[in-house]
Amino acid sequence: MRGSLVALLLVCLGARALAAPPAAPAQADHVHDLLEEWRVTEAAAEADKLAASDPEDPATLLAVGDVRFQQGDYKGALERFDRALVGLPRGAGEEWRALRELIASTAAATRDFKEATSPDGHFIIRYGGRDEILLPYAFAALAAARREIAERDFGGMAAFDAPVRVEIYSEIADLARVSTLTLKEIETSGTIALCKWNRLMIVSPRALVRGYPWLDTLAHEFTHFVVSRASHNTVPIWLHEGLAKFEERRWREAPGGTLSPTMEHLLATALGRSGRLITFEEMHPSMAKLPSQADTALAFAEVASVIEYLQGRHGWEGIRQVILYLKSGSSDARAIAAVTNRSFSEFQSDWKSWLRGRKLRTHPGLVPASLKFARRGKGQAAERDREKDEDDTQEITEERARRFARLGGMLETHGRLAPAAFEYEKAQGLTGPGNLPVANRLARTYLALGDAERAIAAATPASELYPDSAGLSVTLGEAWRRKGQAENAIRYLETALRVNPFDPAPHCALAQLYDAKDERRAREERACGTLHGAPGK
Amino acid sequence: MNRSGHIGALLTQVRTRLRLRQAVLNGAVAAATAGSAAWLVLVVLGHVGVRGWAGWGTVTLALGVVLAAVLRPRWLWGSDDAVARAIDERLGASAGPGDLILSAVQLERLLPQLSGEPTVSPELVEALIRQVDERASRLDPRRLVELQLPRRRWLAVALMFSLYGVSLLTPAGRWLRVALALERAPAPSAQRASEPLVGDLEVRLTYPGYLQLPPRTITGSSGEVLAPRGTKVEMRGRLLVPAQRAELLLELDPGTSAAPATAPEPQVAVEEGRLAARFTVTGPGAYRFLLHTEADVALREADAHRITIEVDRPPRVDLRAPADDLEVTQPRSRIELAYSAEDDHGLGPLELVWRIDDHEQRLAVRQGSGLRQVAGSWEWDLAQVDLRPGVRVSYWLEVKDNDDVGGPNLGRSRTLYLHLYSAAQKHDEMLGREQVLLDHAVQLLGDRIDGEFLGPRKDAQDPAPPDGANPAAIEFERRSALHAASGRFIDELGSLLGTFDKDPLAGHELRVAAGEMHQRLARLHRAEEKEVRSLSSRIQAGRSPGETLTAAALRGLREANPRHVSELERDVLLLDDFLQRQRLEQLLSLSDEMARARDRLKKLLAQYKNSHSEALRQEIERELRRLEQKLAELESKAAQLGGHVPDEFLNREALADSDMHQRLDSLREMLARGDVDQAMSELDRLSRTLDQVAQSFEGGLRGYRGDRFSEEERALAELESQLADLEHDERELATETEKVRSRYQQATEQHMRERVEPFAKKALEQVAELQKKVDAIDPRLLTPGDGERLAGTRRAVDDLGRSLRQADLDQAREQVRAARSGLSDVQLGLTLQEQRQQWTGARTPYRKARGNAAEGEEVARRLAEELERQFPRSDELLSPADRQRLEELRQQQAGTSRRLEEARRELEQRSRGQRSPGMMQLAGEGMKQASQHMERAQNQLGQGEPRDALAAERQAADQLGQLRQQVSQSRRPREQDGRGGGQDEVVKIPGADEYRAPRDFREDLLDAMKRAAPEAYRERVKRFYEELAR
Repeated sequence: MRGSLVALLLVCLGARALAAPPAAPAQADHVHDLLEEWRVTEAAAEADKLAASDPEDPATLLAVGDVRFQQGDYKGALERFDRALVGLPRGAGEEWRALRELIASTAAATRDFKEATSPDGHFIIRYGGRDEILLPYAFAALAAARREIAERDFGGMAAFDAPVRVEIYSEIADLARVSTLTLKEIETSGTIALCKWNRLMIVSPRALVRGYPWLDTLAHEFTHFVVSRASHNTVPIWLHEGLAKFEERRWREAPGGTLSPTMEHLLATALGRSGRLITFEEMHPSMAKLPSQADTALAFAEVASVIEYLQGRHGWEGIRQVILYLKSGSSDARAIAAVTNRSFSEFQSDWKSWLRGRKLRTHPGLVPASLKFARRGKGQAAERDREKDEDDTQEITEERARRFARLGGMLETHGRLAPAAFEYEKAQGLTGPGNLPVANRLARTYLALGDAERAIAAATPASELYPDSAGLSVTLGEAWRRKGQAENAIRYLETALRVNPFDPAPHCALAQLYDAKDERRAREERACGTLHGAPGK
Repeated sequence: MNRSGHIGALLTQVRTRLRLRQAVLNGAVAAATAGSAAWLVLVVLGHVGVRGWAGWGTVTLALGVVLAAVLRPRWLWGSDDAVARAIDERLGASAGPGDLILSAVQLERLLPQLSGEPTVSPELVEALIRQVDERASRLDPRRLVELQLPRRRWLAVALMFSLYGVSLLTPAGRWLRVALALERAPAPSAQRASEPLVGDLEVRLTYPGYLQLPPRTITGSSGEVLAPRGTKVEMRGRLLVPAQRAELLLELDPGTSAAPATAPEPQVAVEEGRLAARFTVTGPGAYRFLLHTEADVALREADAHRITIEVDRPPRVDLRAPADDLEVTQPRSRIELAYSAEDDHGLGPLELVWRIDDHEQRLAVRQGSGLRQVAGSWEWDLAQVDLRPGVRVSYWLEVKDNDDVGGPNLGRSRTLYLHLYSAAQKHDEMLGREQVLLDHAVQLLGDRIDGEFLGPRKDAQDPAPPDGANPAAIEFERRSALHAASGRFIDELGSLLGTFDKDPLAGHELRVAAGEMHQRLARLHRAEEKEVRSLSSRIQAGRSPGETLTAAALRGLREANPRHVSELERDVLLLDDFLQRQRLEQLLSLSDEMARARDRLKKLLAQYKNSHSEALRQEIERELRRLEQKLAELESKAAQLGGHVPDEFLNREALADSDMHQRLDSLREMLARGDVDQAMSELDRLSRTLDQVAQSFEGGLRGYRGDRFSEEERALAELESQLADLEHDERELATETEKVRSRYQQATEQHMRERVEPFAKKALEQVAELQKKVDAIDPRLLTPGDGERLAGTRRAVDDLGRSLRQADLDQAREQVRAARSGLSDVQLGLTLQEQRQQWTGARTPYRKARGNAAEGEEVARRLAEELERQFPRSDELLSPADRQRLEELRQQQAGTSRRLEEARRELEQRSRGQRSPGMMQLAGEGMKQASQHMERAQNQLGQGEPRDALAAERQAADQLGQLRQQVSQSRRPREQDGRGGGQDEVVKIPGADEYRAPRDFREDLLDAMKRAAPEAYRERVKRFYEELAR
């Protein structure tokens, strides 16, 4: 992009460009370079200087427009891009035109957004419609992430000279509009959030049938933000994603979290005879470009384990050293070698050996959870009804079990709960206790029959395999609540909120479970009331 | 005139006020005077019975007087002198000596003369005038002439006019009304006659023309009149009391508004002791004669004569057929309506009226005939009705009579209803029933699963039975109830099975599957029935259930229950699969229907672009509405499916995201603007969206079938592919055989050309002989069937001669065969007839005819043999290379045949394990037939008969193609209405005369004719082909 700018302006802008002092394009290039390095404040200062000397120069306009875009002023950016590109002949400056289109569609997608600043002033969230309900949870998670990730783990490497902007989109189509990803790529890879152009972008959990771990995702993207700032955007994708994945639960967990069952299963399978690991090269330029959600999940598991290995061997200091090497212009291989004293291939080999040495095990029957995007045809129903309405029996791979589950569903629909449980039990007999749809249905039915004990027994094994299942968490939370064990209930219900905060059930249950003095109680009461009375958008 | 300004202005203002004041005064006085005079005159006129013009003349005169009085002041105050004088008078002494204003006016007029002839000093005059003018400026015209009249005068005038008005309205003003002809004069007070006044009455009734009745004369009448309205009545009678003149006094019946008679007024004449009266009957009532005797005494008849209206009853029309509501299957069919109608006087036009929604249309069935009774039938061409599947049309007949006096009376038949059969609607209803059945199946499954927990199980959740109750008895009771519920379900399923025939869109597989389901359930039910009965007997045998029934006795029922559960699990899923599949198919069918409507719209738009006809415009609007309806239906059905079909198989987004509603709206707007080109472009865009939606549904359906009917779907897909391959190979084979046949044909023709001419000449003589024999057979001797055969034979002989003259021996050979066969039949028929007639002695003509037939047959036989000899053997005409080629083709055919047979056997095996083997069985049958064709082709190829082989190959290929299509159709839903897309097209059937079978077709037919048919059908088949070839 940068390289072409001078040529573009010289060739296309004719006499004006030729007559202009050569300093303007060069300085403009510098502004764009600074932006590429996530040095937005410095870029803004340079752009201001340019604007003072030659405000109408197209190169200046593009530079200032780019800065404005990254500062979140889409209207201002668009206005400058339009002025800069107006005289450009057809076919010239395609990159700039493309960026102009992106800015325009971003402006359109965020036109009706509202804005909220976190109590500590470190974050600004832009959102639309009913996503307001996410704000308190998001601010709390981001504050914790800043404390644990930016300040503690990365040791304040990243400069925060302005509040970090977060945008929440109500549909995945909006994410496609504000990014260079296509809708198909988003659906295929399961990409639900991005960190680019000096901001965090996530899709609202209401855009998915079962929600998704959106707070972890927020922390994940924030880690990218920190890494990009700290390294001046020099960190390769595998390391970037590894760090982000490794850190995504740091806001709520102590350091050194273990691999999730799904990650363990994916890695164990990939390390097995018939399996294959995704190479670091394949991960470039973006995890979102991988061919399937399963590949993406495996890639994330790999890179997270790499960071776990690196952190385990060299601590956070080692990781920070790697970043500094990269920032100074070293390649990832050199940076790793410098810190680990092993060549990059040796490092990879060591990591694989370490991984094998962990005796990872597969979980038979485990199906890596994939994101299920809400279809607009169903959008007429409230978000809270989506998961309930959803026919997830198709996800049961065992044919006979699927048939029993279908029968159970039909009996349940007809109000025949006990016979439904009978059919679900038969299905579970065939799939084992870890099958998510079957366990979920069986536990829900037991609960409806008033048998909390059985509900817990039916849901717990699957919950261990799928800790991010909002449905199971709600059922377990409710079951524990009925058994009078508030602590367990709160744990599961909070998990549910981290995944699907648009389901009123956990809010309402938590409103009863939190201590009367706990300020969260009032929050949950509000959310419970709001969601119960709210129609789907 | 140089009049000073103030004097002139004063004169003008005063004149106006004087005129106005005087007009009002005069008018009031004249109104009072003339009004009173006119009032008196009118009363007098009314009393003397003068009516009409004299009364109104008086009123006009009075008004004229008033008008003159009002206008008179205009003339009176025209001159300045008069006005000046009036001013001077009003000023009186205050103005000074003499008539000051008048003098000024007059002197001013004289001033020009004074300058020439100075009798008076002009200066002095001018000074006077100036002085008067200055004075006039100070005068107020309002004070000089007051307009306001004294209130008392006004009141007097108003009172007088009120009295006139009131007197006109009140009974006292009756004579005024009479004078003004506003009311008939009351009969003069007359004495009631104690004896009859008129005798020997003769009444002549002349009926209204529409009744078409001759006049009727009633002599010796009592004077009572019974006639329809509009009848002219003439009466003649003898005065029983001498009279100068007579009147007819009419009396209205209470409650009626119409007078008994209307203008021309009843006319009554008296002459030489006789009376003549005439009037027209207009309503019910009565009349009396009033005679004025010579002594000027008025005598009134004591009893009135009735005028009774003979009612013209409304016509009656009966729609006798159809007997009931109808359901038609074709929108362009005709239905026959049988009717009868009658009227007491004469029938007017008869019409058929039909209504769809609120739109009523009518059609003339027959014109007004004037007849009193008609009956008949009439064909209603439904093409004239905008019939759409599922639409309900109400219709009836209406007939009017010819009453042109009181207006035509209307008769209306009963209303019947007509439905256009809608397969889609039937199917929809059927799906509703299937859904109910499925719901019941689920409930029954729930009950049966609950049944698993009945009895002594450790996890049984039922409360302990009440003290003293036998748990086994309670359990038995519950299991009996379960058994009964199963029975009801089986009955319901059986009933549904019975209605499948009414739903042509219910797939064959579903029928088979449901039938098998019914059998399985019934079997289980029967087994359980034995147990239940046996236990019931035991209970009945005992004194109380508790004594006789033990838990062990229920073991059989308990053990049977899991089998029911298992069966119901299977059935519930099966029903659900079929139901949702049909619903998905419905969506696809609806999108197909929309596509057809779209195509029609395209055509209409193209036509409209050229013609801009209003009729087309309306048709386009209808089509747009149809599209909108279908779209709404599609959306509704897709929404209903939401909870039943997994998202994977129903892409709601495709429909939700489609902008079809918007596009339809903008299309309509564009049309309203007259922008047809834009509308067509918009329709193209809509088309693309619609295609995408259809594709999405199709993909969903395929996915659903693949998932829920995977085994069957795979088998059918494979079968379709195999059939396509086999068909392709068979057609290739036929193409190659065709080449050989073509060469063979050429060789045959070459060969025949050399022989045909001498042979044809000789053969034609034989044909003439044959014709003679055939003509000699009297068709009247034959049964209708044999008569037809004889006619066919004659045609064959005619054609035979023609073919020989055209040197077409190939044709001739077939025709002589036909003639021979026909004659053989006729001969047999005649023999039978002859035998039947042996007892009547009328055998001779039969014998003779039979002899002709036998001789004719013999001629035909000889001719056939000779013709046959003209044809070379195929191996004589085939080149060695072609013989070799035929052998190769035979081997190819054997290979294809083998593959077909293998595919068929495989299919048979597969269909055994299928839950819905319907299509596969059908395919198996079809493949067997194709295999037979192939076998025959193989034989013919082996015998060196390319022509016969080709026909068999084509039949085999067609059979395979047909099968492939059937399989393909079975994988894809059929058209919604079961009639494909042609329902809205006018189906043109070419007239039989226009059609001549092409030569190739005839050849193929003749080839086909040669193939052996079963003995019993041989003749019929032959005749069928002969007819077809013609």
